[in-house]
Amino acid sequence: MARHTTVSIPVELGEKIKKRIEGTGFRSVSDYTTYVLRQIVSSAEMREKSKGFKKEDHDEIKRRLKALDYI
Amino acid sequence: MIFVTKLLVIGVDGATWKVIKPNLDSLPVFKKLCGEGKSGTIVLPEGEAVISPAIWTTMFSGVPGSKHGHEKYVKDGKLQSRDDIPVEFCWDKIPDKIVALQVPFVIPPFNWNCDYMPPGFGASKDEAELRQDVEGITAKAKEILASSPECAIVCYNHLDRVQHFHWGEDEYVLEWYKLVDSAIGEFVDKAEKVIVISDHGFCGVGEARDKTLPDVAADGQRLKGDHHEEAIIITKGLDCEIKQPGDVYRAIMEMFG
Repeated sequence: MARHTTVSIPVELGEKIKKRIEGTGFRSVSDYTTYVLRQIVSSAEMREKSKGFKKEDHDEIKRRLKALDYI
Repeated sequence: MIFVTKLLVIGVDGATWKVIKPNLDSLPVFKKLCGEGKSGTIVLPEGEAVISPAIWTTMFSGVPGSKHGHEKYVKDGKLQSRDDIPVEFCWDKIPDKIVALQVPFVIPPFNWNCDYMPPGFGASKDEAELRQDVEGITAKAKEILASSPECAIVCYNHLDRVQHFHWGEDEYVLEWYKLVDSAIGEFVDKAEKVIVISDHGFCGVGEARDKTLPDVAADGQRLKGDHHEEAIIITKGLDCEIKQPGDVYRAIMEMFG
Protein backbone atom coordinates (compact mmCIF):
# COMPACT_ATOMS: atom_id res chain seq x y z
CA MET A 1 0.00 0.00 0.00
CA ALA A 2 1.41 3.45 -0.97
CA ARG A 3 2.37 5.72 1.93
CA HIS A 4 0.85 9.19 2.11
CA THR A 5 1.34 12.38 4.04
CA THR A 6 -1.38 14.95 4.67
CA VAL A 7 -1.13 18.43 3.19
CA SER A 8 -3.61 21.17 4.07
CA ILE A 9 -4.96 23.62 1.52
CA PRO A 10 -7.46 26.46 2.06
CA VAL A 11 -11.10 25.44 1.78
CA GLU A 12 -11.75 27.98 -1.02
CA LEU A 13 -8.91 26.51 -3.07
CA GLY A 14 -10.27 23.02 -2.50
CA GLU A 15 -13.70 24.14 -3.75
CA LYS A 16 -12.16 25.71 -6.88
CA ILE A 17 -10.27 22.51 -7.61
CA LYS A 18 -13.44 20.44 -7.13
CA LYS A 19 -15.22 22.54 -9.78
CA ARG A 20 -12.24 22.42 -12.11
CA ILE A 21 -11.97 18.63 -12.10
CA GLU A 22 -15.64 17.97 -12.85
CA GLY A 23 -15.89 15.87 -16.03
CA THR A 24 -12.16 15.14 -16.14
CA GLY A 25 -10.25 11.97 -15.33
CA PHE A 26 -9.33 13.16 -11.85
CA ARG A 27 -11.24 11.32 -9.17
CA SER A 28 -10.57 13.67 -6.23
CA VAL A 29 -9.00 16.96 -5.11
CA SER A 30 -6.08 14.86 -3.80
CA ASP A 31 -5.55 13.25 -7.23
CA TYR A 32 -5.45 16.62 -8.97
CA THR A 33 -3.24 18.26 -6.36
CA THR A 34 -0.81 15.35 -6.51
CA TYR A 35 -0.70 15.63 -10.32
CA VAL A 36 0.06 19.36 -10.21
CA LEU A 37 2.75 19.00 -7.57
CA ARG A 38 4.37 16.12 -9.49
CA GLN A 39 4.53 18.32 -12.59
CA ILE A 40 6.25 21.08 -10.68
CA VAL A 41 8.73 18.75 -9.03
CA SER A 42 9.51 16.78 -12.17
CA SER A 43 9.99 19.96 -14.23
CA ALA A 44 12.50 21.13 -11.68
CA GLU A 45 14.23 17.74 -11.79
CA MET A 46 14.31 17.78 -15.61
CA ARG A 47 15.93 21.21 -15.58
CA GLU A 48 18.53 19.94 -13.14
CA LYS A 49 19.18 16.77 -15.12
CA SER A 50 19.46 18.66 -18.13
CA LYS A 51 21.21 16.97 -20.76
CA GLY A 52 17.66 17.00 -21.77
CA PHE A 53 16.44 17.65 -25.20
CA LYS A 54 17.69 20.64 -27.05
CA LYS A 55 15.53 22.48 -29.54
CA GLU A 56 17.33 20.71 -32.39
CA ASP A 57 16.29 17.36 -30.89
CA HIS A 58 12.67 18.47 -30.68
CA ASP A 59 12.80 19.62 -34.30
CA GLU A 60 14.31 16.30 -35.38
CA ILE A 61 11.64 14.33 -33.53
CA LYS A 62 8.87 16.39 -35.09
CA ARG A 63 10.40 15.89 -38.55
CA ARG A 64 10.44 12.13 -38.00
CA LEU A 65 6.87 12.09 -36.69
CA LYS A 66 5.76 14.04 -39.76
CA ALA A 67 7.39 11.41 -41.99
CA LEU A 68 5.36 8.79 -40.10
CA ASP A 69 2.21 10.90 -40.49
CA TYR A 70 1.77 11.40 -36.81
CA ILE A 71 1.49 15.14 -37.34
CA MET B 1 9.98 -21.94 -9.52
CA ILE B 2 9.86 -18.78 -7.41
CA PHE B 3 9.47 -15.50 -9.32
CA VAL B 4 10.28 -12.16 -7.80
CA THR B 5 8.72 -10.36 -10.75
CA LYS B 6 5.03 -10.98 -10.24
CA LEU B 7 3.74 -9.34 -13.39
CA LEU B 8 5.26 -8.67 -16.80
CA VAL B 9 3.24 -6.57 -19.24
CA ILE B 10 4.50 -6.72 -22.83
CA GLY B 11 2.96 -4.13 -25.12
CA VAL B 12 3.24 -4.71 -28.86
CA ASP B 13 1.94 -1.68 -30.71
CA GLY B 14 -0.19 -2.65 -33.70
CA ALA B 15 -0.03 -6.43 -33.20
CA THR B 16 -2.99 -8.17 -34.79
CA TRP B 17 -4.45 -11.69 -34.83
CA LYS B 18 -4.81 -11.25 -38.61
CA VAL B 19 -1.08 -11.98 -38.82
CA ILE B 20 -0.47 -14.03 -35.67
CA LYS B 21 -3.23 -16.67 -35.90
CA PRO B 22 -2.54 -17.94 -39.44
CA ASN B 23 1.19 -18.03 -38.67
CA LEU B 24 1.32 -19.48 -35.17
CA ASP B 25 3.62 -22.29 -36.24
CA SER B 26 6.17 -19.65 -37.28
CA LEU B 27 5.72 -17.71 -34.02
CA PRO B 28 6.67 -20.21 -31.30
CA VAL B 29 6.57 -17.77 -28.39
CA PHE B 30 3.12 -16.44 -29.24
CA LYS B 31 2.02 -20.04 -29.81
CA LYS B 32 3.31 -21.18 -26.42
CA LEU B 33 1.72 -18.21 -24.65
CA CYS B 34 -1.64 -18.89 -26.30
CA GLY B 35 -1.40 -22.54 -25.36
CA GLU B 36 -0.38 -21.97 -21.75
CA GLY B 37 -2.59 -18.93 -21.15
CA LYS B 38 -5.78 -17.35 -22.41
CA SER B 39 -6.00 -15.38 -25.63
CA GLY B 40 -8.69 -13.09 -26.88
CA THR B 41 -9.58 -9.93 -28.73
CA ILE B 42 -10.07 -6.49 -27.28
CA VAL B 43 -12.58 -4.49 -29.29
CA LEU B 44 -11.91 -0.82 -28.69
CA PRO B 45 -15.07 1.10 -27.81
CA GLU B 46 -16.72 3.27 -30.44
CA GLY B 47 -16.12 6.93 -29.89
CA GLU B 48 -12.60 6.38 -28.51
CA ALA B 49 -9.75 7.27 -30.86
CA VAL B 50 -7.95 4.20 -32.26
CA ILE B 51 -4.62 5.90 -31.88
CA SER B 52 -1.54 4.93 -29.89
CA PRO B 53 -1.01 8.02 -27.67
CA ALA B 54 -4.58 7.71 -26.40
CA ILE B 55 -4.70 3.97 -25.85
CA TRP B 56 -1.35 3.55 -24.12
CA THR B 57 -2.32 6.42 -21.81
CA THR B 58 -5.59 4.68 -20.96
CA MET B 59 -3.86 1.34 -20.52
CA PHE B 60 -1.58 2.57 -17.76
CA SER B 61 -3.80 5.20 -16.13
CA GLY B 62 -7.25 3.62 -16.33
CA VAL B 63 -8.63 6.93 -17.65
CA PRO B 64 -10.59 6.72 -20.94
CA GLY B 65 -9.50 8.81 -23.91
CA SER B 66 -12.68 10.88 -23.74
CA LYS B 67 -11.48 12.11 -20.32
CA HIS B 68 -7.73 12.49 -20.69
CA GLY B 69 -7.87 13.95 -24.23
CA HIS B 70 -4.31 12.97 -25.20
CA GLU B 71 -4.43 11.91 -28.85
CA LYS B 72 -1.38 13.39 -30.54
CA TYR B 73 2.36 13.20 -30.17
CA VAL B 74 2.54 16.82 -31.33
CA LYS B 75 -0.19 19.26 -30.39
CA ASP B 76 -0.31 22.86 -31.64
CA GLY B 77 3.30 22.49 -32.81
CA LYS B 78 4.53 21.35 -29.38
CA LEU B 79 6.01 17.90 -28.83
CA GLN B 80 3.92 16.41 -26.02
CA SER B 81 5.65 15.05 -22.94
CA ARG B 82 4.36 13.14 -19.92
CA ASP B 83 3.80 16.43 -18.13
CA ASP B 84 1.22 17.49 -20.73
CA ILE B 85 -1.06 14.57 -19.90
CA PRO B 86 -3.44 15.18 -16.98
CA VAL B 87 -3.54 11.69 -15.47
CA GLU B 88 -1.81 9.70 -12.79
CA PHE B 89 -0.23 6.62 -14.24
CA CYS B 90 0.16 3.42 -12.27
CA TRP B 91 3.87 4.14 -11.82
CA ASP B 92 2.99 7.51 -10.26
CA LYS B 93 0.84 5.74 -7.68
CA ILE B 94 3.23 2.90 -6.82
CA PRO B 95 6.56 4.36 -7.95
CA ASP B 96 8.87 1.80 -6.37
CA LYS B 97 7.12 -1.28 -7.66
CA ILE B 98 7.15 -0.68 -11.40
CA VAL B 99 9.80 -0.45 -14.08
CA ALA B 100 8.44 0.68 -17.45
CA LEU B 101 10.43 0.60 -20.70
CA GLN B 102 9.48 2.46 -23.86
CA VAL B 103 5.77 3.02 -23.39
CA PRO B 104 4.77 4.88 -26.57
CA PHE B 105 2.13 7.28 -25.29
CA VAL B 106 4.70 9.99 -26.05
CA ILE B 107 7.70 10.16 -28.36
CA PRO B 108 10.43 9.43 -27.42
CA PRO B 109 8.66 6.56 -25.66
CA PHE B 110 8.49 6.85 -21.90
CA ASN B 111 10.64 5.09 -19.34
CA TRP B 112 10.11 4.78 -15.60
CA ASN B 113 12.86 3.64 -13.26
CA CYS B 114 15.15 2.86 -16.19
CA ASP B 115 17.05 4.64 -18.93
CA TYR B 116 17.02 3.85 -22.61
CA MET B 117 17.13 6.14 -25.62
CA PRO B 118 16.03 4.45 -28.86
CA PRO B 119 17.67 5.12 -32.23
CA GLY B 120 15.87 7.87 -34.08
CA PHE B 121 14.20 8.92 -30.79
CA GLY B 122 11.78 6.01 -31.25
CA ALA B 123 10.26 7.71 -34.32
CA SER B 124 11.98 5.83 -37.08
CA LYS B 125 10.78 4.02 -40.17
CA ASP B 126 14.29 3.03 -41.20
CA GLU B 127 14.64 -0.77 -41.16
CA ALA B 128 18.14 -0.78 -39.70
CA GLU B 129 17.15 1.60 -36.88
CA LEU B 130 14.04 -0.45 -36.12
CA ARG B 131 16.03 -3.69 -35.90
CA GLN B 132 18.62 -2.03 -33.70
CA ASP B 133 15.84 -0.78 -31.45
CA VAL B 134 14.23 -4.23 -31.09
CA GLU B 135 17.62 -5.56 -30.00
CA GLY B 136 18.22 -2.64 -27.67
CA ILE B 137 14.85 -2.90 -25.94
CA THR B 138 15.23 -6.66 -25.56
CA ALA B 139 18.67 -6.33 -24.00
CA LYS B 140 17.37 -3.66 -21.65
CA ALA B 141 14.33 -5.77 -20.75
CA LYS B 142 16.58 -8.67 -19.78
CA GLU B 143 18.69 -6.37 -17.65
CA ILE B 144 15.59 -4.99 -15.95
CA LEU B 145 14.15 -8.41 -15.21
CA ALA B 146 17.49 -9.58 -13.84
CA SER B 147 17.07 -6.91 -11.14
CA SER B 148 13.70 -8.46 -10.21
CA PRO B 149 11.19 -5.61 -10.17
CA GLU B 150 7.76 -6.55 -8.85
CA CYS B 151 6.11 -5.32 -12.04
CA ALA B 152 7.80 -4.76 -15.40
CA ILE B 153 6.29 -3.13 -18.48
CA VAL B 154 8.11 -3.49 -21.83
CA CYS B 155 6.77 -2.10 -25.10
CA TYR B 156 7.69 -2.59 -28.75
CA ASN B 157 6.28 -0.19 -31.36
CA HIS B 158 8.03 -1.60 -34.43
CA LEU B 159 5.20 -3.67 -35.91
CA ASP B 160 3.09 -0.51 -36.08
CA ARG B 161 5.81 1.29 -38.03
CA VAL B 162 6.31 -1.60 -40.44
CA GLN B 163 2.59 -2.20 -41.01
CA HIS B 164 1.88 1.44 -41.85
CA PHE B 165 3.99 1.08 -44.99
CA HIS B 166 4.06 -2.66 -45.69
CA TRP B 167 0.61 -4.00 -44.78
CA GLY B 168 -0.33 -6.59 -47.39
CA GLU B 169 3.29 -7.61 -47.98
CA ASP B 170 2.66 -10.75 -46.00
CA GLU B 171 6.12 -12.30 -45.99
CA TYR B 172 7.83 -9.05 -45.09
CA VAL B 173 5.39 -8.29 -42.26
CA LEU B 174 5.70 -11.85 -40.92
CA GLU B 175 9.48 -11.47 -40.70
CA TRP B 176 8.96 -8.58 -38.32
CA TYR B 177 6.48 -10.55 -36.23
CA LYS B 178 9.08 -13.34 -36.03
CA LEU B 179 11.65 -10.82 -34.86
CA VAL B 180 9.38 -9.55 -32.08
CA ASP B 181 8.27 -13.10 -31.20
CA SER B 182 11.91 -14.13 -30.77
CA ALA B 183 12.70 -10.98 -28.79
CA ILE B 184 9.87 -11.55 -26.33
CA GLY B 185 10.98 -15.15 -25.96
CA GLU B 186 14.23 -13.98 -24.39
CA PHE B 187 12.56 -12.79 -21.21
CA VAL B 188 8.88 -13.78 -21.13
CA ASP B 189 9.54 -16.66 -18.74
CA LYS B 190 11.03 -14.39 -16.08
CA ALA B 191 7.73 -13.42 -14.43
CA GLU B 192 4.98 -15.26 -12.62
CA LYS B 193 2.11 -13.62 -14.54
CA VAL B 194 2.21 -12.22 -18.07
CA ILE B 195 0.04 -9.90 -20.13
CA VAL B 196 0.79 -9.47 -23.84
CA ILE B 197 -1.37 -6.77 -25.37
CA SER B 198 -1.57 -4.46 -28.34
CA ASP B 199 -3.15 -1.02 -28.39
CA HIS B 200 -4.93 -1.63 -31.71
CA GLY B 201 -4.78 -4.00 -34.65
CA PHE B 202 -4.11 -3.38 -38.33
CA CYS B 203 -5.92 -3.72 -41.63
CA GLY B 204 -5.85 -2.49 -45.18
CA VAL B 205 -6.72 1.11 -45.99
CA GLY B 206 -10.52 1.49 -45.97
CA GLU B 207 -11.15 -1.57 -43.79
CA ALA B 208 -11.04 0.10 -40.36
CA ARG B 209 -14.11 1.22 -38.44
CA ASP B 210 -12.57 4.69 -38.14
CA LYS B 211 -9.97 5.88 -40.62
CA THR B 212 -6.95 6.90 -38.57
CA LEU B 213 -4.10 7.31 -41.04
CA PRO B 214 -3.94 9.24 -44.32
CA ASP B 215 -3.54 7.50 -47.66
CA VAL B 216 -0.23 9.18 -48.41
CA ALA B 217 2.53 10.10 -45.99
CA ALA B 218 3.98 13.61 -45.80
CA ASP B 219 7.00 12.45 -47.83
CA GLY B 220 4.76 11.11 -50.59
CA GLN B 221 5.05 7.44 -49.65
CA ARG B 222 1.72 5.63 -49.88
CA LEU B 223 0.52 4.10 -46.62
CA LYS B 224 -0.81 0.58 -47.01
CA GLY B 225 -2.30 -0.08 -43.60
CA ASP B 226 -4.59 1.57 -41.09
CA HIS B 227 -5.37 1.04 -37.40
CA HIS B 228 -8.01 -1.59 -36.75
CA GLU B 229 -10.23 -1.51 -33.68
CA GLU B 230 -9.42 -5.11 -32.65
CA ALA B 231 -6.35 -5.55 -30.47
CA ILE B 232 -4.76 -8.73 -29.15
CA ILE B 233 -4.75 -9.87 -25.54
CA ILE B 234 -2.93 -12.88 -24.10
CA THR B 235 -2.73 -13.49 -20.38
CA LYS B 236 -0.91 -16.15 -18.42
CA GLY B 237 -1.58 -16.79 -14.76
CA LEU B 238 -3.80 -13.72 -14.37
CA ASP B 239 -6.80 -13.94 -12.04
CA CYS B 240 -8.79 -11.19 -13.74
CA GLU B 241 -9.95 -10.59 -17.29
CA ILE B 242 -8.61 -7.88 -19.54
CA LYS B 243 -11.47 -6.76 -21.79
CA GLN B 244 -10.41 -3.17 -22.39
CA PRO B 245 -7.03 -1.36 -22.24
CA GLY B 246 -7.87 0.32 -18.92
CA ASP B 247 -8.25 -3.11 -17.31
CA VAL B 248 -4.44 -3.43 -17.40
CA TYR B 249 -4.18 -0.45 -15.03
CA ARG B 250 -6.82 -1.98 -12.77
CA ALA B 251 -5.03 -5.35 -12.77
CA ILE B 252 -1.73 -3.67 -11.80
CA MET B 253 -3.32 -1.62 -9.01
CA GLU B 254 -5.17 -4.67 -7.69
CA MET B 255 -1.94 -6.66 -7.51
CA PHE B 256 0.38 -3.97 -6.19
CA GLY B 257 -1.62 -0.93 -5.06
